[in-house]
Amino acid sequence: MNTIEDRLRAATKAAADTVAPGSAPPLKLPEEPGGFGWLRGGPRRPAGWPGWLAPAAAAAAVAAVVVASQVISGAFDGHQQATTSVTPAEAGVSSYYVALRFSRGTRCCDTPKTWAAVVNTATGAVLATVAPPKPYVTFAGVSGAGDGRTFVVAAQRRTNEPANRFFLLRINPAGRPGDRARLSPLPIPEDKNQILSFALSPGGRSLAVADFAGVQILNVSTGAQRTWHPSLGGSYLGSATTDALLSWSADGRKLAFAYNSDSTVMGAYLLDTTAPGSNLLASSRRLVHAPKPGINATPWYQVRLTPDGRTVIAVLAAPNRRDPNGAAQKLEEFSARTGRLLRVLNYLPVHNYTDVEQVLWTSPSGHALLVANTKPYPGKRRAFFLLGHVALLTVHHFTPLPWFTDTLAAAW
Amino acid sequence: MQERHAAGPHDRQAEARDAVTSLYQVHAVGLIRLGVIMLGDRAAAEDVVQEAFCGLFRHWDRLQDPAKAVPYLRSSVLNGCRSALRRRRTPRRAGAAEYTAESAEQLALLGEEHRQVLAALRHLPARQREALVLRFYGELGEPEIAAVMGISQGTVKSTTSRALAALGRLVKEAG
Repeated sequence: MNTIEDRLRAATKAAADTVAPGSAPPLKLPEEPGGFGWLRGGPRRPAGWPGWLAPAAAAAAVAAVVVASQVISGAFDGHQQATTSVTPAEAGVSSYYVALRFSRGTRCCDTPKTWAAVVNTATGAVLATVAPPKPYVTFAGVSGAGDGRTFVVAAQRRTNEPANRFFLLRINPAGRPGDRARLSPLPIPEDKNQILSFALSPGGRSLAVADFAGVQILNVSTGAQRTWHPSLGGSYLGSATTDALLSWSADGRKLAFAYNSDSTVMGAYLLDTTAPGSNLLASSRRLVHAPKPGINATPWYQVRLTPDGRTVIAVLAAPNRRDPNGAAQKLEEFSARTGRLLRVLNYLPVHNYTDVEQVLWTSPSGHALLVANTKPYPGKRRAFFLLGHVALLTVHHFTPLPWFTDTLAAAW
Repeated sequence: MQERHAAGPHDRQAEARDAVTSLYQVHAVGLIRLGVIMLGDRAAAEDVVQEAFCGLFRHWDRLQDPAKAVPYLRSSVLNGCRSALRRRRTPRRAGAAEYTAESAEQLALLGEEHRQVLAALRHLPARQREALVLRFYGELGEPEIAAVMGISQGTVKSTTSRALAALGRLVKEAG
Protein backbone atom coordinates (compact mmCIF):
# COMPACT_ATOMS: atom_id res chain seq x y z
CA MET A 1 0.00 0.00 0.00
CA ASN A 2 2.12 2.85 -1.27
CA THR A 3 0.19 5.95 -2.07
CA ILE A 4 -1.79 8.09 0.30
CA GLU A 5 -4.77 7.62 -2.02
CA ASP A 6 -4.63 3.85 -1.57
CA ARG A 7 -4.31 4.17 2.17
CA LEU A 8 -7.22 6.55 2.28
CA ARG A 9 -9.39 4.21 0.20
CA ALA A 10 -8.54 1.27 2.43
CA ALA A 11 -9.12 3.19 5.67
CA THR A 12 -12.46 4.66 4.64
CA LYS A 13 -13.60 1.27 3.33
CA ALA A 14 -12.63 -0.36 6.63
CA ALA A 15 -14.57 2.28 8.56
CA ALA A 16 -17.55 1.87 6.24
CA ASP A 17 -17.47 -1.91 6.60
CA THR A 18 -18.17 -1.56 10.31
CA VAL A 19 -21.75 -0.79 9.23
CA ALA A 20 -23.20 -4.10 8.14
CA PRO A 21 -25.60 -4.27 5.20
CA GLY A 22 -29.20 -4.18 6.34
CA SER A 23 -28.29 -2.78 9.74
CA ALA A 24 -29.91 0.63 9.34
CA PRO A 25 -32.43 1.36 12.08
CA PRO A 26 -36.07 1.83 11.05
CA LEU A 27 -36.89 5.18 9.54
CA LYS A 28 -39.08 7.38 11.71
CA LEU A 29 -41.01 9.90 9.70
CA PRO A 30 -43.48 12.39 11.10
CA GLU A 31 -47.07 11.27 10.98
CA GLU A 32 -48.86 14.39 9.89
CA PRO A 33 -50.18 14.96 6.37
CA GLY A 34 -48.72 16.86 3.43
CA GLY A 35 -47.93 20.47 3.84
CA PHE A 36 -46.44 19.31 7.15
CA GLY A 37 -47.77 22.33 8.97
CA TRP A 38 -47.09 20.76 12.32
CA LEU A 39 -43.41 20.76 11.57
CA ARG A 40 -43.36 24.41 10.76
CA GLY A 41 -45.45 24.83 13.83
CA GLY A 42 -48.20 27.11 14.85
CA PRO A 43 -47.44 30.48 16.29
CA ARG A 44 -43.95 30.31 17.68
CA ARG A 45 -43.29 31.49 21.16
CA PRO A 46 -42.06 35.05 20.78
CA ALA A 47 -38.54 35.86 21.85
CA GLY A 48 -38.46 36.91 25.44
CA TRP A 49 -41.52 34.86 26.28
CA PRO A 50 -41.92 35.44 29.99
CA GLY A 51 -41.43 32.62 32.39
CA TRP A 52 -44.81 33.17 33.95
CA LEU A 53 -47.64 33.07 31.55
CA ALA A 54 -51.36 33.32 31.88
CA PRO A 55 -53.06 30.76 29.67
CA ALA A 56 -53.91 32.91 26.70
CA ALA A 57 -55.41 30.10 24.69
CA ALA A 58 -57.26 28.38 27.48
CA ALA A 59 -60.61 28.38 25.73
CA ALA A 60 -59.25 26.74 22.60
CA ALA A 61 -57.32 24.29 24.71
CA VAL A 62 -60.39 23.15 26.57
CA ALA A 63 -62.12 22.55 23.27
CA ALA A 64 -59.18 20.39 22.24
CA VAL A 65 -59.30 18.26 25.35
CA VAL A 66 -63.02 17.77 25.04
CA VAL A 67 -62.47 16.34 21.57
CA ALA A 68 -59.75 14.10 22.96
CA SER A 69 -62.11 12.71 25.55
CA GLN A 70 -64.69 11.91 22.89
CA VAL A 71 -62.33 9.58 21.04
CA ILE A 72 -60.98 7.72 24.01
CA SER A 73 -63.49 4.88 23.81
CA GLY A 74 -61.77 1.59 23.18
CA ALA A 75 -58.39 2.97 24.12
CA PHE A 76 -58.04 0.71 27.15
CA ASP A 77 -58.33 -2.90 26.14
CA GLY A 78 -59.88 -5.16 28.70
CA HIS A 79 -61.99 -2.48 30.28
CA GLN A 80 -65.44 -1.15 29.74
CA GLN A 81 -66.16 2.48 29.95
CA ALA A 82 -67.95 3.20 33.21
CA THR A 83 -71.69 3.55 32.81
CA THR A 84 -71.92 5.58 35.97
CA SER A 85 -68.87 7.74 35.90
CA VAL A 86 -66.66 8.09 38.95
CA THR A 87 -65.37 11.60 39.20
CA PRO A 88 -61.68 12.16 39.92
CA ALA A 89 -62.65 14.02 43.10
CA GLU A 90 -64.69 11.04 44.33
CA ALA A 91 -61.68 8.80 43.76
CA GLY A 92 -59.44 11.18 45.71
CA VAL A 93 -57.46 12.55 42.79
CA SER A 94 -56.09 16.03 43.39
CA SER A 95 -57.94 18.84 41.68
CA TYR A 96 -54.90 20.01 39.73
CA TYR A 97 -52.01 18.37 37.99
CA VAL A 98 -48.92 19.53 36.14
CA ALA A 99 -48.54 18.43 32.54
CA LEU A 100 -45.40 18.79 30.45
CA ARG A 101 -46.51 19.66 26.97
CA PHE A 102 -44.29 20.24 24.02
CA SER A 103 -44.33 23.49 22.17
CA ARG A 104 -45.45 23.67 18.59
CA GLY A 105 -42.06 24.88 17.45
CA THR A 106 -40.63 21.40 18.05
CA ARG A 107 -39.03 19.93 14.95
CA CYS A 108 -39.55 16.32 14.08
CA CYS A 109 -36.04 15.21 14.70
CA ASP A 110 -35.31 16.85 18.03
CA THR A 111 -36.40 15.76 21.41
CA PRO A 112 -39.21 18.08 22.35
CA LYS A 113 -38.99 21.42 24.07
CA THR A 114 -41.62 21.33 26.73
CA TRP A 115 -43.40 23.75 29.01
CA ALA A 116 -45.47 23.07 32.09
CA ALA A 117 -49.21 23.56 32.31
CA VAL A 118 -51.21 23.52 35.52
CA VAL A 119 -54.45 21.82 34.60
CA ASN A 120 -57.76 21.22 36.34
CA THR A 121 -58.13 17.43 36.55
CA ALA A 122 -61.90 17.39 36.18
CA THR A 123 -62.40 19.98 33.48
CA GLY A 124 -59.10 20.13 31.62
CA ALA A 125 -59.02 23.90 32.01
CA VAL A 126 -55.52 25.36 32.13
CA LEU A 127 -54.85 27.39 35.24
CA ALA A 128 -51.34 28.56 34.43
CA THR A 129 -48.44 27.80 32.16
CA VAL A 130 -44.77 27.97 33.02
CA ALA A 131 -41.81 28.06 30.64
CA PRO A 132 -38.36 26.82 31.66
CA PRO A 133 -36.36 29.74 33.08
CA LYS A 134 -33.37 30.79 31.01
CA PRO A 135 -30.87 29.30 30.26
CA TYR A 136 -32.98 26.17 30.42
CA VAL A 137 -35.04 25.34 27.38
CA THR A 138 -37.09 22.31 28.28
CA PHE A 139 -38.58 20.37 31.16
CA ALA A 140 -37.59 16.72 31.12
CA GLY A 141 -39.78 15.40 33.90
CA VAL A 142 -42.23 16.21 36.67
CA SER A 143 -43.19 14.65 39.96
CA GLY A 144 -45.82 15.66 42.50
CA ALA A 145 -46.00 15.46 46.26
CA GLY A 146 -49.61 14.28 46.00
CA ASP A 147 -51.09 17.36 47.64
CA GLY A 148 -52.04 18.97 44.34
CA ARG A 149 -49.90 21.99 45.19
CA THR A 150 -46.25 20.94 45.29
CA PHE A 151 -44.30 19.63 42.32
CA VAL A 152 -40.70 19.29 41.17
CA VAL A 153 -39.71 19.69 37.54
CA ALA A 154 -36.35 18.83 35.96
CA ALA A 155 -35.09 21.40 33.47
CA GLN A 156 -32.43 20.97 30.80
CA ARG A 157 -30.27 23.55 29.03
CA ARG A 158 -30.52 21.73 25.74
CA THR A 159 -32.68 18.96 24.47
CA ASN A 160 -30.83 15.64 24.36
CA GLU A 161 -28.57 16.80 27.16
CA PRO A 162 -28.48 14.57 30.21
CA ALA A 163 -27.84 17.26 32.86
CA ASN A 164 -30.90 18.28 34.83
CA ARG A 165 -31.56 21.10 37.25
CA PHE A 166 -34.46 20.66 39.63
CA PHE A 167 -37.01 23.37 40.33
CA LEU A 168 -39.80 23.49 42.84
CA LEU A 169 -43.14 24.37 41.27
CA ARG A 170 -45.78 25.53 43.71
CA ILE A 171 -49.27 26.25 42.52
CA ASN A 172 -51.88 28.47 44.05
CA PRO A 173 -55.23 28.05 42.30
CA ALA A 174 -56.76 30.92 44.30
CA GLY A 175 -54.03 33.36 43.30
CA ARG A 176 -54.21 36.09 40.71
CA PRO A 177 -53.82 34.95 37.13
CA GLY A 178 -50.14 35.85 36.96
CA ASP A 179 -49.33 34.35 40.32
CA ARG A 180 -50.87 30.91 40.25
CA ALA A 181 -47.65 29.01 39.65
CA ARG A 182 -44.26 29.84 41.07
CA LEU A 183 -41.00 28.23 40.07
CA SER A 184 -37.92 28.33 42.28
CA PRO A 185 -34.59 26.49 41.99
CA LEU A 186 -33.87 23.78 44.52
CA PRO A 187 -30.54 23.93 46.38
CA ILE A 188 -29.40 20.83 44.53
CA PRO A 189 -26.48 20.87 42.08
CA GLU A 190 -27.21 20.02 38.48
CA ASP A 191 -27.32 16.25 37.96
CA LYS A 192 -24.85 15.53 35.17
CA ASN A 193 -25.99 11.97 34.58
CA GLN A 194 -28.87 10.76 32.51
CA ILE A 195 -31.77 10.64 34.92
CA LEU A 196 -33.90 7.53 34.71
CA SER A 197 -36.63 8.60 37.06
CA PHE A 198 -37.30 10.89 39.98
CA ALA A 199 -40.04 11.09 42.59
CA LEU A 200 -40.97 13.71 45.13
CA SER A 201 -41.94 12.29 48.50
CA PRO A 202 -45.38 12.87 50.03
CA GLY A 203 -45.09 16.16 51.87
CA GLY A 204 -42.43 17.28 49.43
CA ARG A 205 -39.45 16.98 51.78
CA SER A 206 -37.28 14.57 49.81
CA LEU A 207 -36.56 13.95 46.18
CA ALA A 208 -35.52 10.50 45.02
CA VAL A 209 -33.46 10.54 41.84
CA ALA A 210 -32.35 7.45 39.93
CA ASP A 211 -29.53 7.75 37.46
CA PHE A 212 -26.90 5.31 36.28
CA ALA A 213 -24.76 6.07 39.32
CA GLY A 214 -27.43 4.93 41.71
CA VAL A 215 -30.38 6.20 43.69
CA GLN A 216 -29.99 9.47 45.53
CA ILE A 217 -32.26 10.90 48.17
CA LEU A 218 -32.00 14.68 48.27
CA ASN A 219 -33.29 16.97 50.94
CA VAL A 220 -35.38 19.54 49.10
CA SER A 221 -34.67 22.28 51.67
CA THR A 222 -30.94 21.81 52.25
CA GLY A 223 -29.75 19.86 49.22
CA ALA A 224 -28.16 17.23 51.50
CA GLN A 225 -27.88 13.96 49.66
CA ARG A 226 -27.39 10.28 50.28
CA THR A 227 -26.59 7.76 47.57
CA TRP A 228 -27.16 4.05 47.19
CA HIS A 229 -25.11 2.39 44.47
CA PRO A 230 -26.37 -0.46 42.34
CA SER A 231 -24.16 -3.45 43.10
CA LEU A 232 -24.45 -4.76 39.57
CA GLY A 233 -23.88 -1.55 37.67
CA GLY A 234 -25.23 -0.88 34.23
CA SER A 235 -28.80 -0.06 33.45
CA TYR A 236 -30.10 -1.43 36.70
CA LEU A 237 -33.49 0.17 36.37
CA GLY A 238 -33.84 -1.34 32.95
CA SER A 239 -36.10 -0.11 30.27
CA ALA A 240 -36.83 3.46 31.23
CA THR A 241 -39.65 3.90 28.77
CA THR A 242 -41.78 5.10 31.62
CA ASP A 243 -41.25 7.82 34.11
CA ALA A 244 -42.54 6.31 37.30
CA LEU A 245 -39.93 3.75 38.19
CA LEU A 246 -39.73 5.14 41.71
CA SER A 247 -42.53 5.59 44.23
CA TRP A 248 -42.70 6.50 47.91
CA SER A 249 -44.58 5.12 50.86
CA ALA A 250 -47.02 7.57 52.43
CA ASP A 251 -44.65 8.36 55.33
CA GLY A 252 -41.90 9.44 52.92
CA ARG A 253 -39.41 6.95 54.41
CA LYS A 254 -39.49 4.03 52.02
CA LEU A 255 -38.92 4.02 48.32
CA ALA A 256 -40.08 1.33 45.91
CA PHE A 257 -38.23 0.71 42.70
CA ALA A 258 -37.95 -1.86 39.93
CA TYR A 259 -34.63 -3.60 39.38
CA ASN A 260 -34.14 -4.99 35.91
CA SER A 261 -30.42 -5.35 35.39
CA ASP A 262 -29.86 -9.00 36.20
CA SER A 263 -32.47 -11.69 35.73
CA THR A 264 -31.57 -13.41 39.00
CA VAL A 265 -32.46 -10.38 41.06
CA MET A 266 -35.15 -8.79 38.94
CA GLY A 267 -38.15 -7.59 40.82
CA ALA A 268 -39.77 -4.83 42.81
CA TYR A 269 -37.77 -3.64 45.81
CA LEU A 270 -38.33 -1.44 48.82
CA LEU A 271 -35.50 0.72 50.15
CA ASP A 272 -35.68 2.01 53.72
CA THR A 273 -34.09 5.42 53.25
CA THR A 274 -33.61 5.88 56.99
CA ALA A 275 -31.56 2.71 57.49
CA PRO A 276 -27.73 2.61 57.18
CA GLY A 277 -25.94 1.28 54.11
CA SER A 278 -25.05 2.39 50.64
CA ASN A 279 -25.54 -0.72 48.55
CA LEU A 280 -28.87 -0.44 46.82
CA LEU A 281 -29.79 -4.11 46.75
CA ALA A 282 -28.28 -4.98 50.12
CA SER A 283 -30.20 -2.14 51.76
CA SER A 284 -33.48 -3.08 50.12
CA ARG A 285 -36.07 -5.78 50.55
CA ARG A 286 -37.46 -7.55 47.51
CA LEU A 287 -41.21 -7.16 47.57
CA VAL A 288 -42.05 -9.12 44.45
CA HIS A 289 -39.91 -11.52 42.43
CA ALA A 290 -40.04 -11.36 38.66
CA PRO A 291 -42.84 -13.70 37.60
CA LYS A 292 -40.43 -15.86 35.59
CA PRO A 293 -36.94 -16.35 36.99
CA GLY A 294 -33.80 -16.78 34.92
CA ILE A 295 -33.19 -15.65 31.40
CA ASN A 296 -36.89 -15.47 30.60
CA ALA A 297 -37.52 -13.15 33.53
CA THR A 298 -40.20 -10.62 32.79
CA PRO A 299 -39.02 -7.02 32.67
CA TRP A 300 -40.77 -4.50 34.84
CA TYR A 301 -41.87 -1.47 32.95
CA GLN A 302 -43.17 0.22 36.02
CA VAL A 303 -43.63 -0.28 39.73
CA ARG A 304 -45.81 1.75 42.06
CA LEU A 305 -46.18 1.15 45.74
CA THR A 306 -49.62 2.21 46.88
CA PRO A 307 -49.39 4.92 49.55
CA ASP A 308 -50.68 2.52 52.22
CA GLY A 309 -47.69 0.32 51.47
CA ARG A 310 -49.81 -2.82 51.11
CA THR A 311 -49.81 -3.43 47.39
CA VAL A 312 -47.54 -3.01 44.42
CA ILE A 313 -49.04 -2.03 41.11
CA ALA A 314 -46.80 -3.07 38.25
CA VAL A 315 -46.75 -2.95 34.49
CA LEU A 316 -44.96 -6.04 33.21
CA ALA A 317 -44.11 -7.46 29.82
CA ALA A 318 -46.31 -10.43 28.89
CA PRO A 319 -46.66 -12.84 25.97
CA ASN A 320 -49.18 -11.88 23.36
CA ARG A 321 -52.14 -14.25 23.51
CA ARG A 322 -52.88 -14.12 19.81
CA ASP A 323 -49.53 -13.50 18.19
CA PRO A 324 -46.59 -15.61 19.44
CA ASN A 325 -44.18 -13.08 17.95
CA GLY A 326 -46.07 -10.11 19.33
CA ALA A 327 -45.71 -8.35 22.62
CA ALA A 328 -48.16 -7.46 25.33
CA GLN A 329 -48.19 -6.17 28.83
CA LYS A 330 -50.13 -6.70 31.98
CA LEU A 331 -51.12 -4.32 34.67
CA GLU A 332 -51.00 -6.37 37.86
CA GLU A 333 -51.46 -5.93 41.56
CA PHE A 334 -49.21 -7.77 44.01
CA SER A 335 -49.21 -8.04 47.77
CA ALA A 336 -46.29 -6.04 49.14
CA ARG A 337 -46.16 -8.38 52.16
CA THR A 338 -46.15 -11.78 50.46
CA GLY A 339 -45.23 -10.87 46.88
CA ARG A 340 -48.21 -12.85 45.59
CA LEU A 341 -50.22 -11.78 42.59
CA LEU A 342 -53.57 -10.46 43.76
CA ARG A 343 -55.23 -9.65 40.46
CA VAL A 344 -54.63 -8.74 36.87
CA LEU A 345 -56.01 -5.29 36.29
CA ASN A 346 -55.45 -5.11 32.57
CA TYR A 347 -53.97 -7.01 29.64
CA LEU A 348 -52.86 -4.95 26.71
CA PRO A 349 -51.43 -6.17 23.38
CA VAL A 350 -48.60 -3.89 22.37
CA HIS A 351 -48.57 -2.90 18.75
CA ASN A 352 -45.15 -1.67 17.84
CA TYR A 353 -44.84 -0.04 21.26
CA THR A 354 -47.82 2.14 20.56
CA ASP A 355 -49.79 1.21 23.62
CA VAL A 356 -47.38 1.11 26.50
CA GLU A 357 -49.36 1.65 29.63
CA GLN A 358 -48.39 3.86 32.51
CA VAL A 359 -49.79 4.27 35.97
CA LEU A 360 -49.71 7.96 36.82
CA TRP A 361 -51.36 7.92 40.21
CA THR A 362 -52.82 5.47 42.69
CA SER A 363 -55.32 6.00 45.47
CA PRO A 364 -54.04 5.10 48.97
CA SER A 365 -55.27 1.51 48.67
CA GLY A 366 -54.82 1.13 44.91
CA HIS A 367 -58.56 0.82 44.40
CA ALA A 368 -58.49 3.68 41.89
CA LEU A 369 -55.69 4.34 39.44
CA LEU A 370 -54.96 6.92 36.83
CA VAL A 371 -53.64 5.05 33.81
CA ALA A 372 -52.37 6.34 30.51
CA ASN A 373 -51.85 4.83 27.11
CA THR A 374 -48.69 6.15 25.56
CA LYS A 375 -48.26 6.83 21.89
CA PRO A 376 -44.90 7.12 20.14
CA TYR A 377 -43.89 10.32 18.47
CA PRO A 378 -40.90 10.30 16.12
CA GLY A 379 -37.86 11.71 17.80
CA LYS A 380 -34.28 12.01 16.73
CA ARG A 381 -32.61 9.07 18.41
CA ARG A 382 -35.74 7.15 19.21
CA ALA A 383 -39.42 7.72 19.41
CA PHE A 384 -40.46 9.55 22.53
CA PHE A 385 -43.78 8.87 24.11
CA LEU A 386 -46.79 11.03 24.57
CA LEU A 387 -49.51 10.29 27.07
CA GLY A 388 -52.22 9.68 24.51
CA HIS A 389 -55.21 9.06 26.72
CA VAL A 390 -55.66 9.09 30.46
CA ALA A 391 -58.45 7.47 32.41
CA LEU A 392 -59.48 6.80 35.94
CA LEU A 393 -59.51 3.04 36.38
CA THR A 394 -61.72 1.47 39.02
CA VAL A 395 -62.33 -2.30 39.02
CA HIS A 396 -62.31 -2.90 35.27
CA HIS A 397 -64.10 0.31 34.45
CA PHE A 398 -62.51 3.41 33.14
CA THR A 399 -63.61 6.99 33.09
CA PRO A 400 -61.71 9.10 30.56
CA LEU A 401 -60.26 12.39 31.70
CA PRO A 402 -60.21 15.42 29.47
CA TRP A 403 -56.68 15.33 28.16
CA PHE A 404 -54.20 17.20 26.00
CA THR A 405 -52.72 14.72 23.57
CA ASP A 406 -49.47 16.70 23.33
CA THR A 407 -48.58 15.80 26.92
CA LEU A 408 -45.29 14.04 27.55
CA ALA A 409 -45.51 13.63 31.29
CA ALA A 410 -47.92 14.48 34.05
CA ALA A 411 -47.93 14.37 37.82
CA TRP A 412 -50.49 14.81 40.56
CA MET B 1 -61.43 8.24 -21.10
CA GLN B 2 -59.55 8.11 -17.87
CA GLU B 3 -60.58 10.45 -15.14
CA ARG B 4 -57.90 12.43 -13.45
CA HIS B 5 -58.15 13.26 -9.81
CA ALA B 6 -56.14 16.00 -8.24
CA ALA B 7 -54.04 14.48 -5.47
CA GLY B 8 -55.19 15.60 -2.05
CA PRO B 9 -52.82 16.40 0.80
CA HIS B 10 -53.14 12.89 2.20
CA ASP B 11 -52.32 11.34 -1.20
CA ARG B 12 -49.28 13.56 -1.48
CA GLN B 13 -48.22 12.67 2.01
CA ALA B 14 -48.59 8.96 1.30
CA GLU B 15 -46.65 9.37 -1.92
CA ALA B 16 -43.88 11.24 -0.13
CA ARG B 17 -43.77 8.67 2.64
CA ASP B 18 -43.50 5.77 0.18
CA ALA B 19 -40.85 7.49 -1.88
CA VAL B 20 -38.72 8.51 1.09
CA THR B 21 -39.07 5.09 2.69
CA SER B 22 -37.96 3.40 -0.55
CA LEU B 23 -34.97 5.70 -0.77
CA TYR B 24 -34.13 4.91 2.83
CA GLN B 25 -34.20 1.19 2.17
CA VAL B 26 -31.75 1.56 -0.68
CA HIS B 27 -29.46 4.32 0.54
CA ALA B 28 -29.57 4.38 4.34
CA VAL B 29 -26.63 2.03 4.94
CA GLY B 30 -24.46 3.85 2.41
CA LEU B 31 -25.22 7.18 4.00
CA ILE B 32 -24.66 5.85 7.52
CA ARG B 33 -21.30 4.58 6.29
CA LEU B 34 -20.52 8.03 4.98
CA GLY B 35 -21.51 9.47 8.36
CA VAL B 36 -19.35 6.94 10.21
CA ILE B 37 -16.33 7.90 8.11
CA MET B 38 -16.93 11.58 8.78
CA LEU B 39 -17.80 11.26 12.46
CA GLY B 40 -16.32 7.99 13.69
CA ASP B 41 -19.47 7.33 15.66
CA ARG B 42 -22.23 5.02 14.50
CA ALA B 43 -24.99 6.50 16.67
CA ALA B 44 -24.21 10.06 15.63
CA ALA B 45 -24.09 8.95 11.99
CA GLU B 46 -27.52 7.31 12.30
CA ASP B 47 -28.90 10.52 13.79
CA VAL B 48 -27.55 12.60 10.96
CA VAL B 49 -28.99 10.24 8.35
CA GLN B 50 -32.35 10.12 10.09
CA GLU B 51 -32.40 13.90 10.11
CA ALA B 52 -31.51 14.01 6.42
CA PHE B 53 -34.43 11.75 5.49
CA CYS B 54 -36.82 13.71 7.68
CA GLY B 55 -35.64 16.84 5.90
CA LEU B 56 -36.25 15.24 2.52
CA PHE B 57 -39.73 14.20 3.64
CA ARG B 58 -40.49 17.72 4.84
CA HIS B 59 -39.38 19.23 1.57
CA TRP B 60 -40.70 16.53 -0.74
CA ASP B 61 -43.33 18.87 -2.15
CA ARG B 62 -40.59 21.23 -3.24
CA LEU B 63 -38.38 18.58 -4.82
CA GLN B 64 -39.00 19.05 -8.53
CA ASP B 65 -36.73 16.31 -9.84
CA PRO B 66 -36.77 13.02 -7.89
CA ALA B 67 -33.36 12.20 -9.36
CA LYS B 68 -31.96 14.97 -7.19
CA ALA B 69 -33.09 13.24 -4.00
CA VAL B 70 -29.88 11.26 -3.53
CA PRO B 71 -27.51 14.21 -4.07
CA TYR B 72 -29.75 16.17 -1.69
CA LEU B 73 -29.39 13.42 0.91
CA ARG B 74 -25.62 13.30 0.51
CA SER B 75 -25.38 17.07 0.92
CA SER B 76 -27.68 16.90 3.87
CA VAL B 77 -25.62 14.19 5.57
CA LEU B 78 -22.40 16.13 4.99
CA ASN B 79 -23.99 19.27 6.41
CA GLY B 80 -25.24 17.30 9.40
CA CYS B 81 -21.78 15.85 9.98
CA ARG B 82 -20.26 19.32 9.77
CA SER B 83 -22.69 20.58 12.40
CA ALA B 84 -22.05 17.58 14.63
CA LEU B 85 -18.29 18.12 14.42
CA ARG B 86 -18.71 21.80 15.16
CA ARG B 87 -20.71 20.97 18.28
CA ARG B 88 -18.02 18.55 19.40
CA ARG B 89 -15.24 21.09 19.01
CA THR B 90 -16.80 23.67 21.27
CA PRO B 91 -15.89 22.04 24.60
CA ARG B 92 -12.40 21.30 23.33
CA ARG B 93 -11.79 24.99 22.78
CA ALA B 94 -13.07 25.65 26.25
CA GLY B 95 -10.34 23.43 27.65
CA ALA B 96 -12.23 20.20 28.14
CA ALA B 97 -10.59 16.85 27.60
CA GLU B 98 -9.46 16.10 24.07
CA TYR B 99 -12.26 14.60 22.07
CA THR B 100 -11.63 11.12 20.71
CA ALA B 101 -13.29 10.93 17.34
CA GLU B 102 -13.76 7.19 17.15
CA SER B 103 -16.21 5.56 19.47
CA ALA B 104 -14.84 2.63 21.46
CA GLU B 105 -16.71 0.24 19.19
CA GLN B 106 -15.25 1.79 16.07
CA LEU B 107 -11.76 1.72 17.54
CA ALA B 108 -12.08 -1.95 18.28
CA LEU B 109 -13.05 -2.68 14.69
CA LEU B 110 -10.31 -0.73 12.97
CA GLY B 111 -6.62 -1.57 12.67
CA GLU B 112 -3.84 0.81 13.68
CA GLU B 113 -2.97 1.71 10.09
CA HIS B 114 -6.55 2.70 9.28
CA ARG B 115 -7.00 4.56 12.55
CA GLN B 116 -3.97 6.69 11.77
CA VAL B 117 -5.27 7.66 8.35
CA LEU B 118 -8.78 8.39 9.65
CA ALA B 119 -7.40 10.48 12.51
CA ALA B 120 -5.40 12.52 10.02
CA LEU B 121 -8.44 12.86 7.77
CA ARG B 122 -10.43 14.36 10.64
CA HIS B 123 -7.76 16.99 11.21
CA LEU B 124 -8.34 18.42 7.77
CA PRO B 125 -10.65 21.39 7.23
CA ALA B 126 -14.24 20.32 6.57
CA ARG B 127 -14.23 21.10 2.87
CA GLN B 128 -11.01 19.19 2.22
CA ARG B 129 -12.19 16.24 4.24
CA GLU B 130 -15.49 16.05 2.40
CA ALA B 131 -13.85 16.30 -0.99
CA LEU B 132 -11.49 13.42 -0.18
CA VAL B 133 -14.23 11.19 1.21
CA LEU B 134 -16.52 11.76 -1.74
CA ARG B 135 -13.67 11.16 -4.17
CA PHE B 136 -11.87 8.20 -2.62
CA TYR B 137 -14.63 6.51 -0.66
CA GLY B 138 -17.66 7.57 -2.69
CA GLU B 139 -15.75 7.22 -5.97
CA LEU B 140 -17.65 10.24 -7.29
CA GLY B 141 -16.42 12.26 -10.22
CA GLU B 142 -15.66 15.96 -10.03
CA PRO B 143 -19.05 17.08 -11.42
CA GLU B 144 -20.91 14.99 -8.83
CA ILE B 145 -18.71 16.18 -5.98
CA ALA B 146 -19.23 19.74 -7.11
CA ALA B 147 -23.01 19.23 -7.07
CA VAL B 148 -23.01 17.65 -3.61
CA MET B 149 -20.70 20.25 -2.08
CA GLY B 150 -22.18 23.20 -3.91
CA ILE B 151 -18.84 24.36 -5.31
CA SER B 152 -17.36 24.59 -8.79
CA GLN B 153 -15.50 21.73 -10.45
CA GLY B 154 -12.33 23.77 -10.44
CA THR B 155 -12.58 24.22 -6.70
CA VAL B 156 -13.14 20.48 -6.28
CA LYS B 157 -9.95 19.80 -8.18
CA SER B 158 -7.80 22.25 -6.24
CA THR B 159 -9.34 21.30 -2.90
CA THR B 160 -8.75 17.60 -3.50
CA SER B 161 -5.17 18.20 -4.50
CA ARG B 162 -4.42 20.34 -1.44
CA ALA B 163 -6.24 17.91 0.82
CA LEU B 164 -4.23 14.94 -0.38
CA ALA B 165 -0.98 16.78 0.19
CA ALA B 166 -2.07 17.81 3.67
CA LEU B 167 -3.23 14.32 4.52
CA GLY B 168 0.08 12.87 3.40
CA ARG B 169 1.93 15.31 5.65
CA LEU B 170 -0.26 14.58 8.64
CA VAL B 171 0.08 10.80 8.26
CA LYS B 172 3.83 11.13 7.91
CA GLU B 173 4.04 13.28 11.03
CA ALA B 174 1.93 10.83 12.99
CA GLY B 175 3.93 7.84 11.77
